[in-house]
Amino acid sequence: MIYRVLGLTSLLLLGAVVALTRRRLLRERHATLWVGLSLMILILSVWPYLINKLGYWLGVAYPPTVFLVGGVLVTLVLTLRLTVTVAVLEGKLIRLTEEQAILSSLLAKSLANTGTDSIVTESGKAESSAL
Amino acid sequence: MIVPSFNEAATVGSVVSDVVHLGYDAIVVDDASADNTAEAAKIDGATVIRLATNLGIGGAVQTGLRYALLLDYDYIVQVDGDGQHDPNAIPLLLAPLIDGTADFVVGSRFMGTPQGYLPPPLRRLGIAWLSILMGRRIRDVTSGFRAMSRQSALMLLSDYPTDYPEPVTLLRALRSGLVVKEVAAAMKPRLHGVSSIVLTRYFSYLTRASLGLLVEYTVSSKRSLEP
Repeated sequence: MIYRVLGLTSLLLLGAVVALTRRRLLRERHATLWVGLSLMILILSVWPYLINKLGYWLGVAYPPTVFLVGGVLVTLVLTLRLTVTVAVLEGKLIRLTEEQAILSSLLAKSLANTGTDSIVTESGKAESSAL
Repeated sequence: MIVPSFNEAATVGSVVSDVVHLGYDAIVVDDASADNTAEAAKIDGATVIRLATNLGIGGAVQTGLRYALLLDYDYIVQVDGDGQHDPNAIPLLLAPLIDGTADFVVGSRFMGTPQGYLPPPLRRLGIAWLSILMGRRIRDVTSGFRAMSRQSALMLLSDYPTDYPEPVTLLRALRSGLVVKEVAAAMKPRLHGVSSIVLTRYFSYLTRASLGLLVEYTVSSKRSLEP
């Protein structure tokens, strides 16, 4: 029974990955990782004796533990990778924010110097631009 | 003169006008304040750079440094926008840079005869601990009142830390062979607002800053000069 649930889950995961990739919500390079993972779960749920065999090789008394420990480790590595990705993105965001702030300050300054920071409104009254 | 400010509308104006009256160019970096810090800082002779999102003290100072380097300033001073640093002490910080005896100058609360405001004992203990981590070469390691040459700014800018910039940048300056000098600069108790280091976050700050310093020790001291 549990293997059927597992197999169904992996199929759903596979479907979700395909759908998300098509909607550009997942990049191809991440999608391959998820496709690989869901295929692995699918294979293990179709041929559960592979887990027993793996457990035997590794000398584990209760083979399903191999599956659980493997799952926890994969999750850990994935989370670490995500944290790294967040840090990289944050660095890029900081750099962009800094550059944007400097540029808009310089722009405001040069507009003020050339006197083009004021625009004439319909009433004919000069109004300062949003900068 | 870089003035990083976050929600300091009440004080930033007087800091900036003091700086301008002394004859320096003021660059105010408003770290996406919720109050009207940017408007309060708009004084003749001051440039206000407003960050679109809050980056924290590291990002604010880094922005100021980038701007100063872009405009080819030779000396850069960092003064807090909360009014605790006396702009009249700026010449004291600049003197060693100008006569070439230092590349990086820290305004210290603990030097000379302590007259001005001193941090509470617990915080002094924390600062002393960070100072020990840095080999006790500088005493006031968290001071946000500092002056640096163009070359020092270039070196620090290659990888400016965002979280605990004061102690980490100081250690980097020391390790990369810059001549760091500490001069006495009394500080006033802050006029308004609260320090970004409140007691509840004290130990968190201390452990993270310590970690930051230890990490900095593992990084090569040879860095590329990248503006």
